[in-house]
Amino acid sequence: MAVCIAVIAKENYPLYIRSAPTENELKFHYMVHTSLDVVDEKISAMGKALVDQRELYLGLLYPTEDYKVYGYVTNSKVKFVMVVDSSNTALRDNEIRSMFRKLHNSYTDVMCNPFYNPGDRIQSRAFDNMVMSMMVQVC
Amino acid sequence: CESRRWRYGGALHAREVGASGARAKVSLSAFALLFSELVQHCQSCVFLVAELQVHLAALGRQVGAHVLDALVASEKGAQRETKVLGALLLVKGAMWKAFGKEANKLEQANDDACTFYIIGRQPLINTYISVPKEDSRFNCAGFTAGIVEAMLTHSGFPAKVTARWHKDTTLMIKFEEAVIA
Repeated sequence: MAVCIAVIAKENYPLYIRSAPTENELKFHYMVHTSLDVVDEKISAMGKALVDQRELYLGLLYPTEDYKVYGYVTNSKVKFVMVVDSSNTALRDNEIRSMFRKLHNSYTDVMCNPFYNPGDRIQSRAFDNMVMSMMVQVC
Repeated sequence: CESRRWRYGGALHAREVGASGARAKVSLSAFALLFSELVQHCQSCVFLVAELQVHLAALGRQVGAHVLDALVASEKGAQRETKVLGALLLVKGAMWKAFGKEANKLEQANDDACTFYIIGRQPLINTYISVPKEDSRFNCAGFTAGIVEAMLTHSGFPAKVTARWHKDTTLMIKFEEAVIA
């Protein structure tokens, strides 16, 4: 389903990036990087009041011809970015939301590890397995 | 001294997350034991009572940083806090619930818009701690102060939190100028 999932820290450096192995990884890294601007625009308090400013799920950030990029931000300003294949029969919003919720829960588990310093790269195998399971669901 | 303290802090915050209800409950005696060990260990590292508060607060800060996300995730329908008041209410509600029940009061100082007070009993922290007469100014709520400070700072509202001992425990929260402006 998802072809690339990234976790970005508050200071906008990546804590974790994983893409589906068959694709060109660099392209996804660039896409995630450019989507950060859109994320910042959405969470800045001076934006228009159309979107609920306090919502965690940010929705579709921007669509390209092959892919769609979705965003989600947590209370501690850690951002999750997910790139999804457009050709897949359109994933409904609810499914994306539930995927982000699972991501958030796994991220919380990583945070709860006392030996994990906030700001380090995420190296937890459980988190890895969860992300891999979200990426290889339809194959 | 540093590494042992680090290990204690880590174990304690794992307990606190457990006690926050998102996952299995943790026994009170286990938490009390860990916390008393923590205080004793800090006591062995310092010479003055005031320093003890500082050490406890530092440990609390580590715990708070890790626990912020866990608390938000476990609270259904929680949203990102963009207002100071929202963040304070989250601290007062969710965090205090992890320790037993909601804090009693949240107040703002009259003269200074940057200062807030949270007043309430700390059912878990101070239950099994008895303070000798000569140290009557000391308060284990310094640990809670550290947690609150970390939670606020990582949500984007830099603040300094100190614990004072009135009739009930009082946490004085002072935000930086940039937050209130």
